Amino acid sequence: MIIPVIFLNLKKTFAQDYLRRQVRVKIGSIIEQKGTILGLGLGDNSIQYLKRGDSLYDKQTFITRANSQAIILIGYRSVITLGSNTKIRIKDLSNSRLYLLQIFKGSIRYEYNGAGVPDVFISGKTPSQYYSAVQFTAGLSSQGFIFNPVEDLDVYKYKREISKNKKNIQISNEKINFLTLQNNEKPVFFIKDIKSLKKPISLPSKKTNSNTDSDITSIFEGTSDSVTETTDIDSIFSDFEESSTKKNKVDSKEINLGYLRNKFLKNNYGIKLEKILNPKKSKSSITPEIGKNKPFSKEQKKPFWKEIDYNLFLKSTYYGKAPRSDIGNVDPQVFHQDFRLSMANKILINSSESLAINGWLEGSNRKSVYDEDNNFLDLQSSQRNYLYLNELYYTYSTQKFDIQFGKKIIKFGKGIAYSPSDALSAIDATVPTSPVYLGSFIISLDTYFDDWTFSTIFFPLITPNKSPTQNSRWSTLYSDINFELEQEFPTGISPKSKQILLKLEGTKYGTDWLFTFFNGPNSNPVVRNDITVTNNIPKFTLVQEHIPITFLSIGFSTTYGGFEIHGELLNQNAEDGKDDSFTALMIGTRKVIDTWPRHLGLNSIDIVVEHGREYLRSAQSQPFYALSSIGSRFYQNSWVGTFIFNVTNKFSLNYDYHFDFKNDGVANIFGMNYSSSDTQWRFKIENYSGSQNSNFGVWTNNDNMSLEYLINF
Amino acid sequence: MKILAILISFIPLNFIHAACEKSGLEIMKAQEKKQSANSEEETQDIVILDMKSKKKEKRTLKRYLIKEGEKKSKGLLFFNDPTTIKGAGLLNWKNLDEEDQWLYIPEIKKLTRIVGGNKKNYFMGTDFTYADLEGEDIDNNNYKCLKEIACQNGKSSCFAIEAKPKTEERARNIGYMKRLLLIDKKNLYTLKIVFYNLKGKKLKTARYSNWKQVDNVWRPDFAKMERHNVQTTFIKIKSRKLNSKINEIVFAKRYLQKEMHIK
Repeated sequence: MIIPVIFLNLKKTFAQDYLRRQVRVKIGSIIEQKGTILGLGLGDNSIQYLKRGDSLYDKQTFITRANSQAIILIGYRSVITLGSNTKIRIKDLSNSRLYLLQIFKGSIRYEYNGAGVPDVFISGKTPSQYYSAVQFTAGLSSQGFIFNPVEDLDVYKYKREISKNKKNIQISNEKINFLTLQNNEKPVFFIKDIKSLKKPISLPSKKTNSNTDSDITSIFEGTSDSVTETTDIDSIFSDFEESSTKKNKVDSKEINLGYLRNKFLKNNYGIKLEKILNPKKSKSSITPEIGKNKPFSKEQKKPFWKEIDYNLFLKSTYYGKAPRSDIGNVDPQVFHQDFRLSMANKILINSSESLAINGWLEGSNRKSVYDEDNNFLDLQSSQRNYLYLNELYYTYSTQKFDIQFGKKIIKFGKGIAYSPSDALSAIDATVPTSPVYLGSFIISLDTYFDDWTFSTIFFPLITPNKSPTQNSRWSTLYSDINFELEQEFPTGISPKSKQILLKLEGTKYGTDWLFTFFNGPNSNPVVRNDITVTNNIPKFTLVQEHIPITFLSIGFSTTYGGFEIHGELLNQNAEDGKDDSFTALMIGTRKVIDTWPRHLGLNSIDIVVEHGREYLRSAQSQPFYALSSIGSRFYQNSWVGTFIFNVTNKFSLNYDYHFDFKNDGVANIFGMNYSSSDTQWRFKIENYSGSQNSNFGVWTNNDNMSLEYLINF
Repeated sequence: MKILAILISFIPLNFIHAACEKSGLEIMKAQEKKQSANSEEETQDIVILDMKSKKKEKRTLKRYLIKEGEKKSKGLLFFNDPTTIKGAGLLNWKNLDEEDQWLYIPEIKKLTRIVGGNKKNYFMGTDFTYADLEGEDIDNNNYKCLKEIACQNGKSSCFAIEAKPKTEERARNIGYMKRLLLIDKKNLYTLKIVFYNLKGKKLKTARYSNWKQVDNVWRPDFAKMERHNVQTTFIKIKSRKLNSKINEIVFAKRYLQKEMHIK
């Protein structure tokens, strides 16, 4: 009965084919794709257009078209990136838990995220032998099959052996440390230094003839290979990855795909690949090549609000005593709370232009500090505003000059605690021991030649300092009479009404030099008595007036014998005797001691000592001028400075001092500081004493403890 | 006999104890010649790990270096992260034996001159001192090649070199009595350095790995400095350019003063 036998055989073949088609072994899935990825089924002519998330099956052929790429996961731990115009086929050896990959054209990159022998082996068109490594790139080119393991990684070889009676699949356990051309004829191994592989590398013999030899060898034992180092360091840095997936333990069965994506894209092993993840977000392409400079990847553009640097400052102050009782209407509180939320950003318009902005939102329970009208558009207010724009300036930079205009903090001078010439920077001294630098309105031109800079700075509008109000316990204008203090700013455009600063700075003979010339209204005002008569009733008004002055100064900073030494000399003349004319001198030094402090358990001690002296050439002499700018000049005969005791990198103690010998006053500030990556804590104890002639004597009742907290985000 | 003794005395000591084919100084000079670049630009991620508390701190810094001639160079490095030190920068000009250094702190808004002599101070809380970051100072050290040993898991051969400061003052300045260097024989890059303090006790160990050849010069992508049982610093190079043109503004004081380094 021939026909039934034939029928039965045909039926069996059809059944096997049917079963083979229906019961397909899933081997992996597509993690990410770009462009066109085709999957060709086995035995039929079906073509699948694959996309992210699609499953991949045993013996399926995958093809990427031009300008297309894909990242696929095979098994649990093997990730393969297919380059453009690539064709591969993967076979699952289920008995041995291996996958054999044949490449027909194009290039791939492979990474194994498990331990031990990788589970994907690759060969060229003719599968004679398969190779693998924990990380490699491979491809087919005119040179033939190219296999490029990452430097120094072991290469594994797989050879399929078929015995007479049964098919045996055996893996050669031989670990090949060096690939030489004579071992394998067919594959061409693309290794950076092929010439050195033409002869076997002979390892130096390990001779340990003497104790010294074995000591030296043992010292250098354990020089780990790059894989271990990479693993150590990658795991250290992975805590700071921005990837939202924190679960990235590669020994777990469930591989976190997000982690794989991020980790895989970081390492580029010589294949031209575009960044295909999140194509909408990233427009940059990474095209690294072996032997060339590692390119800088363009940073992804963040939203504007994410580019702003924020910091939050909180301060609590407790005063040991109530304020002086002989003052009317002073803030009686012994507990002050302050906060300030600062925001800063710098916008790069292009390589030559930028715009910088910073400001803050602040508040406090201190009385009579804030402008109750909250007129934050009053650019010359001497009171604080809850919302304050501190800096907003534009910069145009070239090789030879810079132009800036806007509102900007101007700081210069050679002193650390005190610079006589640095009197133009506006300061918010509402709380004198916690001053804040304020931006001034400027138009400036800096020109550069060699190591010298010549600056011309024009101040179209005076930015006054903010001082303690007469109702503040910090005020030095105590009076039992309530008086009005008005501000008067110069008007018009003339040398007497506008400020101009010329500055020359440079370095010569190992010394930094500074020369300045200033002309215009003094930022530190005088107080003038104004008397007006209305209906025969005199009215007394005190007016803060900004007197035209001129000053010339010279400053230097150098190092000698482990000391940094600096100094300034300033000569100031006031118009028509309306203010003092004087000469101010500052000399100072800084030294960091890090030898014997270690015996005390300290890292180092940082010491700053400065002496400020003033010689009055002619005192204020104009009638009706009640007070000169002397109230703003604290360093007529003073020693000032700090000792910072650095206990660890994060913790330090400090002692700041100001001994005012002119007016017989002393300020001592003791502090403890702790800082971590984004936060700072500071605890301070402030102590003031002295005669009633000195500010510190007036502040005797202001001894206080304060706790400050600053966080940056 | 006398003649033999005289002849022996003229044999170089390093030949008598020779396990290296070259002297230590020759090897270090060859390394300097092979691995030097006229300009370098790097972005580094640094992680500091406290061995006791196991707490980690990360910093990101950018570093520029340019060589303007024999023993004349300028360098700049500044921090981009964390925010508490963002913008802090260190500018350095060297000319023969003279060195000018300035420090910029954004809160102070001033560029201040600092003493460049404290080489043994640790840089910004890391385990690398200022001396470590400057690289090998061949003129101020004596080098002795002790032997050749197998390294990198037996894959290659290395020179074990002992480096000692030439003078006691120099030793006090940098804080080390001696260092042992492990230098790859073929490519002449330093794989490992063991540092000994002034009392001769092992102080810390540096390891350099993931070497990449860029423009014929080898540079490590990873570095690890372990101060035993105290702290470990890991440095990873995020990006690097060698021998490329760097705008000279970068090494001018105004670059920091105008906060052009803060993006």
